[in-house]
Parts: sequence; C-alpha cells; structure tokens
Amino acid sequence: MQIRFFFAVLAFSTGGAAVAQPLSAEDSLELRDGDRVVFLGNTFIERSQSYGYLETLLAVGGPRRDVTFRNLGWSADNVFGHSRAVFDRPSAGFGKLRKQVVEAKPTVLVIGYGSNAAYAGKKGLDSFLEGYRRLLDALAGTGARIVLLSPIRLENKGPPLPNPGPQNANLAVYVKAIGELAAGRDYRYVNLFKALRAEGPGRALTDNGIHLNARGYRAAARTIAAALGLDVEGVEVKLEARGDAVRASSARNAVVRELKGGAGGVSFSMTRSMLPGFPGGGDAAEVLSIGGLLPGAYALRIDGVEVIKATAATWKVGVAFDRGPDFDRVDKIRRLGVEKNFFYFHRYRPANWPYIYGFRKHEQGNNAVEIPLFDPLIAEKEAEIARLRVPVARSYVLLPASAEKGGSR
Amino acid sequence: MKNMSLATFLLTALALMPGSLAAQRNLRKAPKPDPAAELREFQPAEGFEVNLFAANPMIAKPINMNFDARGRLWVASSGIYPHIKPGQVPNDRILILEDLDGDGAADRSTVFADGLLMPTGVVPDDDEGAYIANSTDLLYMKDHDGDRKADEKRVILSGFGIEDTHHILHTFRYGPGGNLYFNQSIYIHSHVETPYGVRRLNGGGIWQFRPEKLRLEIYVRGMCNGWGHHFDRWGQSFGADGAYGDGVIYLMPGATIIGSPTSRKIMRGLNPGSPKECGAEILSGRHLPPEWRGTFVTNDFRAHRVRRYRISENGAGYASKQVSEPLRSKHISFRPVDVKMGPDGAIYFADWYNPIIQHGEVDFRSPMRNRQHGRVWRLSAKGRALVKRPELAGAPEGKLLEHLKDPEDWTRHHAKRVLSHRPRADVARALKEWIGKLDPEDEATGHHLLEALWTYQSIDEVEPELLGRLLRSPDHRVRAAATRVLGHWYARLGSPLPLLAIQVADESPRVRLEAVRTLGMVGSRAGGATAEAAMELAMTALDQPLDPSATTPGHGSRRHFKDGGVASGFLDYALHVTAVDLEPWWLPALEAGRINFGGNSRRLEFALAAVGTKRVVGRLVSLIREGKVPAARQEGLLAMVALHGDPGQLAFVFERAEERLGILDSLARSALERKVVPARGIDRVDVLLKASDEQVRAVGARLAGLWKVGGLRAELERLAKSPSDPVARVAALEGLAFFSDKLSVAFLKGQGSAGGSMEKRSQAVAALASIDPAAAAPLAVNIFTTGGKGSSERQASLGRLFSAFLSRQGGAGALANSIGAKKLAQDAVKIGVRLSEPYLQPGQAAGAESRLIEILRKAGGLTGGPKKLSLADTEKLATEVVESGDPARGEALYHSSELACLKCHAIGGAGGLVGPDLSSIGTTAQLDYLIDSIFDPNKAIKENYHSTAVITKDGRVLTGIKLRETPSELVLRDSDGREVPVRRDNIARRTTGGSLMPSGLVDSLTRDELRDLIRFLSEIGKIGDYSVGRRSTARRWRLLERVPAGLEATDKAPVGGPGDAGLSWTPAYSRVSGKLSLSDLDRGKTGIAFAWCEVRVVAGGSIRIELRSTTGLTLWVAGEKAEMAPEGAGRVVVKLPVGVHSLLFRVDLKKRRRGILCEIDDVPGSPGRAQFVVGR
Repeated sequence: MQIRFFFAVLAFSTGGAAVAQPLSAEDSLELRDGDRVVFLGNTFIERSQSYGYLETLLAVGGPRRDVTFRNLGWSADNVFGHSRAVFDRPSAGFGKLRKQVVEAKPTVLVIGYGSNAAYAGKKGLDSFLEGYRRLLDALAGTGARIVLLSPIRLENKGPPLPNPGPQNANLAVYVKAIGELAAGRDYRYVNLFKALRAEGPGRALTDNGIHLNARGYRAAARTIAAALGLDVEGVEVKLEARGDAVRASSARNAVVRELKGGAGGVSFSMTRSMLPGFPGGGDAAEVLSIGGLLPGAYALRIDGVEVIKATAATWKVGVAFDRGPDFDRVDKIRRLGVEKNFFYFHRYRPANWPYIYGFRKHEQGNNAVEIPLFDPLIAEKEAEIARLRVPVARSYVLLPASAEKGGSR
Repeated sequence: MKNMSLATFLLTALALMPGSLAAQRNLRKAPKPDPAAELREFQPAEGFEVNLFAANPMIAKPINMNFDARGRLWVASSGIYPHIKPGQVPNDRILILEDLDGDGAADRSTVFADGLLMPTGVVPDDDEGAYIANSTDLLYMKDHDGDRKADEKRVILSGFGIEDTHHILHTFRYGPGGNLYFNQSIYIHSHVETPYGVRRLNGGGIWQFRPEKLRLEIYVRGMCNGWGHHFDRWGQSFGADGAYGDGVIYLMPGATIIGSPTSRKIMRGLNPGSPKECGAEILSGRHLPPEWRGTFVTNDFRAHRVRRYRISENGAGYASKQVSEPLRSKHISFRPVDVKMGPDGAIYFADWYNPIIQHGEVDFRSPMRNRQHGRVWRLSAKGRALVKRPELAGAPEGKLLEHLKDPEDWTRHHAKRVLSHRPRADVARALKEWIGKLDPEDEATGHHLLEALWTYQSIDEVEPELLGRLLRSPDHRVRAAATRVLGHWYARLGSPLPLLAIQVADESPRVRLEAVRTLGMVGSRAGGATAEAAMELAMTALDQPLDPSATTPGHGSRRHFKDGGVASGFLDYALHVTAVDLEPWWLPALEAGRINFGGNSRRLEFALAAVGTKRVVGRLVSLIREGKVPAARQEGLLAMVALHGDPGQLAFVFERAEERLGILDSLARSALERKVVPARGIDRVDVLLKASDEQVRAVGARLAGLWKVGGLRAELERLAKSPSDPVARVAALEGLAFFSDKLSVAFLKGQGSAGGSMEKRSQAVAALASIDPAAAAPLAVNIFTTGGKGSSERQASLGRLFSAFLSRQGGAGALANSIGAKKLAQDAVKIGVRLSEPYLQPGQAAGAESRLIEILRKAGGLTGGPKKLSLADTEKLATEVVESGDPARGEALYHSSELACLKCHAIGGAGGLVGPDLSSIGTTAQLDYLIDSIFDPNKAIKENYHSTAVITKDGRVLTGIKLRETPSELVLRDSDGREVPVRRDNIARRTTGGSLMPSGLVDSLTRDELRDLIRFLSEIGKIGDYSVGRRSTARRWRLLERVPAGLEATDKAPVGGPGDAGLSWTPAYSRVSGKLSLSDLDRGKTGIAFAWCEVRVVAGGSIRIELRSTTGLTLWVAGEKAEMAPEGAGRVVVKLPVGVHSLLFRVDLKKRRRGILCEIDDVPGSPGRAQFVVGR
C-alpha cells in the first residue's frame, strides 16, 4: 500500500500548466492588492461558489496580494440576463445584471456565457454575439479587466442520457466565436472547451455530462489559474545529511532554516513562498529529498503531525506528498470562501425578495435591516482568508519510523 | 403532579380569570405544546379514531412527507423557515420515522440528512435514496451502508427560484410510470440547465422529471400554491391549491391553471368557493370503509380541518363534490399540511404545529412562530382490520408483480418503485410471464394490464404490443391512460401518429382528450412536419361533440359575452392548448399552404380562434364571409376580429354586429385603445341609438363619439338631456366627450353648470373631466361645496365625479388645485378620500396628485388621517371583543349596505372577489391582525391582492387587482368587481401598490358595532355557528328591488323572471349558516319578495333541491313551477341539462317567519351533478 502510494505521488504532474497554453508574462492577469474579482455567468459560475476551487487558487497563487471575490453566477443565465428578470419581463434582466455587477464593484470580471445559447446552433450565433457585445460594452464602464471563459465540453455519459455529440459541435462554433470576441477586444480568454478532458475512466469531470463535479471544478480552477499566470507552484527541497550536519543543496519556492541533524534524524524550519494546491489530488505537490540518512524507515512530521513515511533510499530519491498543514490550510481557505459565498448569495439575492424589497415590503420590509448584517460576516471570512493565505514557518522533523509507536508497516 | 409547575398553575389561573387577560392570551400566547392536549381537541369522522404517530423530539416542523417501500416515513423538516438569519448555519433536516412493531406509533427517528436550507420536499426512491428540495436545488442523497444516514449528496438540478419561501420547490410525487413530479408556486422563477437545454418556469406549476434521463418538462402551469398533487387509480392527476379556493383541480397535462402570469386561457378547479387547501391524497384500500375509497383528501390548514371530495367522471373531464370531513379540531396550532396513506391502510397527517401559518402577514421573527414542534397523526377506522404491511423491499420480482393486483394504491405504487431498481431484463422477463397468466375474461385484468404497462414505463422498456392492446382496451380509463404512455414513448414507437389518429376518434371523450393533449406534446417535442400533422389530427376531435358548454364551473356572468380567458369545457380547452402549443408550426404551414385541415372549416376556425391575434383575423373574416361559421359561433369570432382587425375588417364586423354587446364593446375598445375605426358604414351607428335595449343604446352612443360621427352630435345632445333614459344619457355624455373638441367641451360645461339636478350635472362634469380635467374641476368643486341630504343618488353622484377625475391622468391634480383652500361638504370629502386611496398610493402619484387626499381632508376639516390604533388600543379592543362582542349582530353589520363588506369579500365563495374570501378568517387571523387589517388595510395584504395601477397611452388611469396577463392583454379586477382589460401595448406606466380596501371604513361605527363586527370575523370558520358547512348551499342571491304592480296577489313569477332587464335586482348573500335572512328579503311594503339564485349543472341529470321549510314559498326551477308541499320540509327532484339554471323564489312575507335555506344534492343513481353559482 505504502509502496504504491510512493509511485503514485511520484507520478504527479505539477499542476494545470500542462493542459493550458503557457502564457508570456505580459499576458498574466496581475492581480493587485485590493482587487475585487467578480465571476459572472450561468450555472457553471453559480455552482462554482459552493466548491471554491477557482477563487482559492486565484487567492493563494502568484505573487502575494489580498484579493476578494464575488460570485454573480445565476442558473441558466445568458448574455441578456434573462434568468435575472425575476418578476419583470425577461428584457428587464439585462438592467438587473448590470446593476448587480456594478454593485459588486469589480476590478476584474471573469465572465462565462455561451453554453445555453449554443443549443440554438449556428442560427443563434449572431444574436448571441450581438448580446455578448452589448453586455461587454455595458460592463466596460466598470473599468474592470475582463477575462472571458469558454463553455466546457460536454461529456458523453452514455444512455439513457443524451449523446452530447451534436451539442459539442454547436459548442465548438460558439467557443471559436468567443475566442475571437476576446481577441478583438484584447481580453484575456481561457479555452476550457479545449483544455478540460477527463483523464480516463473513473476520472470524469461531470456527473451528468453538462455540469462539473468536484474533480471538474478542480481541473477548471487549475486551468484558469494557469492560463492567467496565477497557478500555484510546487516546492522542491533537497537536503544532504552528514551526521549532525545537514545542508540544503537546493530549495525551490521555499526558505529552509535551522537545519539540524543527529539522533538518526533531521529537523529544519521551512517557509513556503506561496501556499500549495489542494490536498489529495496532486496539485503542486511538495517534493522533499534527503540524502545521507542511515538505512531504515523514516517518518516526516510537520508541526508535530505525521505526514508521510518512507525508507532512507526513497527519501534520497525524493518523496512527493500533497498533505500536511499547508495543504490543510489551503482547504480551510477554500471552505471559508464557500461560507463567504453562502453569505454573499443571501446578501445580494435574498429569498423572500418581494417581502423584503419588493411589492410586499410594506409587510415584511422591516426585515430588510437584517440583510446588510451579512456584510460584517463576509468581511470576517475575508479577513480570515487574508491572514491564512500568508505562509508561515513550519517545523519539519524526520525521525526513524521505528522510534514511532507502532513502528513501520 | 411534580410537573405541575408554578407556570402551569399560573396559566390555569389566568385562563380562569375573565376579561382582559384571557383576550391577551388569545392575542399573544400560543397554547402549551402538549400532544395529549391537542389530541383531545380532535373531532374525527364517525367511526374513526386518531392517534399520535410521532411528535417532537422525534420530529419538528414537518412540511412534506412520503413513505418508502419499507414502510418508513421520510419527513422534510425546517426550523429555519421562513428566512435564514445572517450567520445562521443551515441545519434543517430530513428524518426517517419507523414504526418497528407495527402498532401505529413511530419507535425510531433517524436523521437521514442534516445541514439543509428549508427543505420543502422529500421523496424516497425506494432504493435507500431520496430526492430533496433544498431551496434553489433539487438534491439526491443516498444511504449506501444501511445506517439510514445519507453518505452521498448530489445536486441533480439547480436554479429553482426562492422569491417566496412558502412557494419554493414542494409536493414531491412519483407518477405511476416512474416520473417524478414536483411543484413550485406563483412567485417562483426557475431557470434550470438540463442535458436537453434550458427549462424556464416563471410562476406556479408542476415539473415532470425523469430521474435517470435528467429530462425535465413542465407538466402543468399555474396554481397559486399548488401544495397538493396525487394520481388516481387510473393515472389521472388532481391537485389542491393553498391560495386559490377552487377545491379539487383536474390537472390536464399541459393545462394552465388559475394563477399563472401569462396564458391566453386558464382552467379553473372543480369546486369554486372552497377554502385554501394543502396536501392531497386519493384514498384506497381495504382498511377504509368502501364509500371512502377513491375520495380525495386535502387539508383546510387555516381552519384546522381536513376535507374530502368525491371525484367523478364528467364528459372529457371530472366533477367533484365535497363529502364528510375526516377530521377537525379547535386547536389553533393544529396545522395539517400533508396527508399520505400509510402501509397499514390508515391515513397519516403531517401537523406543522404552528399558530402562525404564513410569513407574509406575520413577521419572520415573530416570537409566536413555533420553530420546534411538530407531529404526525394517524387516522384509522375503528373496528376495521388494518392492512398487513406488505414485504416489498427484498421480494422476488414475481411476488412484486402479484402485488400489482392489490387494492391498496400504496402497495401497487411501491411494488413498481422497487421493480424499477431491479435489473431491467429480469423485470421484463417476469412481466411477460405474469401477463401471460392473467385471465383475459376477468374484469380486473384491464387494470392489472395497465399496471403492467406502467411497470414497463417505470423500467423504461418500450412494449408496443401491450401498449397497442391497451389503447384498444374495452375500458375507456385504460385507453386514456395508455394514450398518455404512448406520449412518453412516442420517439421510440416509429410512427405514433397513426395510433393517435385512432385514439382521437375514440368513442369516449376522456380518451379523445388524452389524445388531443398527447398530440400537442408529441408535436411540440418533434416539431416540423410531425407538429403540423399532429395539429391536423388533433383538430379532427372537433368532428365529434365537445363537452356541453359550461362544463367547468366558474363565477358566472350571464349578461355579456366575454372571452373571459376561462376554459368553458374540458375537451374544448384541451384543443385550445394543443392549438396554442403547436402554433409555431401549423400557422406558418397554413400560411404557406402546406396544410389546410382537410378543407374542414370548423377545424380551421377553431385553430384560428385559439390564436386570436392580428395575424389570423383576415382568415377568420374569410371564413365568416364565406358563410362557413354558423351564427351561434360568430359572436366570439367577430369580437376577436373587432379587437385585432384593421379598419376594413372592423367595417366587416360592424356590418354584422347587430345588437350584440360583446362585439360592440370590442369595437369600442379598438377605437379607444388602438384608434382603429371601421373603414366605412359608421353612420349606421344611429340604428343602435334607437335600439330597445338600453345597454345597446349606451354602447351606440359611446361608439358615435369614439368614431366621431359628426352627424350624430345633435342626437347625442338630445339623448344627453333625456330625463327618461339614464343609462344612455351617461353614455351620450361620454360619447360627446370622445369628440374632444370645443363644441363638446362647451356643451358639457353648459350641462355641468346649469341648474339641473345634481345627478345630471355630475354626469356632465364627469364626462368633461375625461377630456379636460382643468375645465371640469371648478364645476366639480361647485358640486362638492354644496351640502345636501345623504341620499343614495347624492352618494352616487359624488362617487361618480371623484372616479372620473381619478381615472384620468392629471385629473386628481386638477381637482386638488381647484379645491385649494375651499371648504367641502363632509360627505363629499369622505367619499373622495375613500376613492382616492387606491389611486394615490405612495409611489403611484406625484405632484399635486399626491396631495389630493391631504387637501380633501383639510377641505372637510378632518384632522389627522383615518383612525389608527396604538398597540394598547388594539389590546383593549381585543379584550372587549372577547368579552362583549356579539357575532350575530356583527354578521348583520357585515351584510349592511353601509359597510358593503360583501361587495369585495366573499364567504363560501359568494360575494365580491376583489378582496380575499373570508370563509376561514377566524381560524387564521389573530384578533390583533384582524383589528390591524380593518384599521390599516395596507399593513398586511394577502398575496395576489395587491393593487396594480396602470396609466394608458390614451391617458386613462386604471387600478385593480391583476387577474391575468396574456401576451397581448392585462386584465384587472377593479374595486367594483368588474374585469377591466387593457392592451399591453397601450400601457404607458404600470406600478404595484397596496390594498384596494379603503381605510377609515369603520370610522363611522360605534364602539359596540365595532366589537360585534370583529367578533363575527373572528368566529368565521371556527367550529360552531359561523362555519361554512360542506353541503352545497345557495349563497349568492338576487332580490327584486321593487315588486312590480300586479304581482302582489298572484302566485306567479315576474314577467321575464331573473333575466328580465326591465326589473331591478340587487345582490344579496346568505349568512355563513347558509340562510338568506328574512330581514334581507323584506324590501318594501308589498308583503311579497322575489329572490333567485343559480345552479350550474356540470353533468346533466337529476338534481335534488332541499328546503328546510316551504311555508310561504313558491319555487320556479329554470322557469318551471316546482311542485312542493305547502308546509314542512321541501324536496324537489328536477332533471336539468348542462348549463346554468335559475331557482326563483316567491316569498309570502305574511306567512313566512324565517329565511331561506336552500341546498342541492346528487340523486343516487343519476349522473346529474350541480353546484350553486358563486361570486359577486
């Protein structure tokens, strides 16, 4: 079991850069301190708020800065904002969409439309593009830097679900057009349709063929972050032990201090330059190689918690792992983001709208005072995320596994 | 005794104290949540008993519940409802209740799912999983390891609206063939991505979902709060509505039921005048007495009652009649919200246990809101054996199939659900074998085969042979059900249309209806040539008779032709829906000459009429011109052409209009709203001015003005001065106003300022106000400053004047400016303020307009606004109401013409429909809420009773309650109860406002009267003297205002009877008890009274009319004198055809000492079904 795990971890690729087009530096979306990224689109965007992968990667990847995120995805929406019209006629949805975006105060807008329009096939393309241009023109006033996302490719789940072939053909037409639209306006563009593919049986990115599952959203997050030059990078540290003396021969994306040897083990303090990817999936794994250990099994503890065990021979080659306190921290940031998104959803789109703000507000409008109470809760979560996203020094201790209770298995 | 705490002692002591504290308790305190106390309050039906199945802590706040095949009850429960608090973590739950020992009480409760946000629906899939409504999402959660706790959670669909948390996804039901159904209510806007494209549903409706295919479709649209849905033994589905009192609703696939925001035509429920209802279950099984089986049970949750209806076939659709109540209670927290049959054959009720039922009127955070408690009650028949709980979950296929013969719907349903999870090939093999063993001679085999067909549908195995056999089953109910299955399988049947061609020509109207709707659905899914062919086929149903007219009951209006937007017959409606659904294909095909409906003009006419837009009126004109439309059907079509046609087509209409008001009114609307006038022949409007019917003369006068027929000006002026023709006089003044020129202004000014009667002056000024409010205002103010006796003529004149200004853009402002600082007569001010309120609500008016009410008050020396009560005043009044209010005197006040409550508020469906029906107000509203609503109508408004104000492009101002909105038209109900249509393209501005109920209504009442009135309201619906019974009772009456000479001494009906326009009939309504009171009957000195009511016969046959006493009564039924005993109870059996018929009573007031209680009932063995006509 243990052995298989080693091989598995060593086989990891280091993130989504492999599937996305690597971009030159000037193409990267430099997020700045204080940036507000607003996600806008249909179900793809709306559901991403309860996964939180994308905003977490954008928050922890790249150079150090504090960025906040607002999700304005609305199920089955289109470039006309039809899903947002609520009690008004569909045409009123566009004004509401614009208002929602403006009120979210974006400095960066990540927009994903087109998957629903594509059902109309080629004959619907002109109307879609006309609508998309109108939308982008209307949002230009916000001054936000704009990123366009293509729709994803539909997966074939087999009967009794429909064959997505014809719709994928439609989507290809729309994807191409969105890419051209982005290029024409000098917007950054991420072609998810091209980049996202299941990596094999049992590794599907959707459960129903059309909406991403958790694996799908992780893959999408990696792809988008990489395409924007904001992907997280792995840590690679090489140490050489010689008795009590320990030397760091190289340390990529981390600072290693207080190296100590002796008592058959090694200890040091390490601070990452940025947080890693998510635990348990191979994103930007940490690779640690330690040479010069006496033969036997060794267990690594980070901040007192055991992370992994391996033999001296394996440690010498290098052990890749994707768990430990920094990985936990990334997941904690993700969960905080999801909680924040839940608050924001009920802030900008509260249930019982007619009673609180609408045509029945004379009845329950007094409850409107509650709604802004979500703001401090959102701010609290964001402050916590801002604190957690800064890497801290971790204590690494490698000791013979036989010294551990229960020994090595 | 140890538990008899100090608090309990104090409560007991307080309850024993008279007066204020008791009232306060009623007002602010809920009863102690003790299930034993609640149990004692139940009054089950004769022969039944209630026991507690489960209560908190096992469950809390149950909303929706469904059994699984193992007999476990899954309950959706929410303490967060109605609104999440900032920072609150979603912690609502799905619970599984188990009765392990089969004693009728739950022994174990397990939390299947936690962390949910207002789950309002749950249904187990009989495979250890469940579909759950979780606000915006439809979830699927599943237990994989057998601990009854979910360890899988997936979002299946998302994007369901949350605009009102008692409207969100609810009422989960599997259909007989494995489709899952769930509902949303009227405020919800859902936008859902599926593998088949986006599905949008704005407003109420029922979704149809095929889980394994993720196929989501709209099953029906509409219903306000469609909180009940169940399938009967034959696969037909029926609904209940928690906001619209129509009783049982037949859910024809694809229909639009009342309450949907956009539709050309809607279908009403089967029992107008019913209370709001929640949950629905069709009963079955051996445990229940035979007469209970097949009846529809639903909850009158507001009145703490459970109701039951018997549904019967009626032509292509159904009729429904209320029968004995299963259960009722006086306990104010008993809120039955769901009802389901259990595995043992008993009936289970989810009791939400809450004194507060809603969140619109009562604060989200009200401390009265119960968030912890809840019960499930079980109702069983005493002395009857329970059904042995079937073992289904692990049973072999052959055994499960044998259960399809069981009489319990519960068992057959779950057997199919379990089979649907078994390997498809195994089930198919077993099914084939099972079918082979059925005895074709056995009468029961028809239904067994239908269950087999549904089993094939459940495992998604198309079985054309069995389908073909059942499409031609000797039982029309099987044929109808099979036709619907055909619709689900059409894409895999090769060519389904030839099969449907046979069904659409079936001898049974029920089968024809299913075929017509199936063609609509098959056509709209397939599109193209299939859709065109499906439409042509559907229209062949017209070759056989449709339902007799007036098959679906409604609120009757006899006098005018009205499109009305309400279905008139089931099959007729099914054809309409199919024609509308397929319009995108067949209309272009017709225009391109690809189809011609076989050259059959009747079919073409129907199709065109269903579209009813500008695009088709030319073809309608051709049909009429070519003589292909019989005279009887021309009126509606001509009115349609009048509404949408061009000047040439309008000329064609006018040539044929004769004196038909529906057509003439439509011509007038086109002139007013579209400025379209007939191209020729308008001079002939003079003929109308000489018609014998005053309504015709009136519309003629208006048309003359609207069409600006100069040659008729002198004639209009003559009519405008006519002393003997008041209706035409007003119309002539309006007609003159429509000329909108100097001559007419001068004439109207002259008439408005001359020394004529106040009535005539006010009529002239009102007409003037519609074209020149500034010129009219000083004349009006002259009238307002003159005092006078408060006669009804004076009141009418004042009202007319104010309405004229208010309904004209700029009118209120002109009036305000003219009044300035002048003093006005008190009664003028009162009427003015009352009428202004709905028009001049905040946000609806600006500038001088918004100050009119303030200026009026000042002009009348009124200080402050209408009376407002402080909290302390409210409590004091509430105390007095309980101590000394007299409900009988209060009811008399309710019926008094001064308060005019019934003008807007019906009881038992009879009365005005402008405001909510008050049949159960006493059981839902706390005293403080009642008092607030009377003193401050805007404080809390029932849903769908918000006013809508419209300013038209032609400068009119309309206010009313929005009734419906079609693609071309908005229909309001104004404060007089009239339907006011306005073209949507003629709307310049539209706003939503508050209540149409004027404030200050009760300012004139004495304290005693106020107490009595509120006491009466607080008693309506409670068990006792003020509850609307289940028997069908005449409630809506018309009384002869003045008995013409010559009738006093003779025992005969007034000439012409009820329909005689020459007689003046006034509306009257029965008391809650059903009795038309003697004091209401007595209108004068003649000693004779005449009163009539109407029955709507929905299925022709014999009907029994029952009278408690016949003393002094003579009765004519549909114009025929009925033979009755002169004394004692009267019982008359009459045979009546479908339609509306009058019951006319002559009352000899010298002999009669009591009012009239008139009931109708079915005659055993006769197909006859009738209901009283209700409404205003």
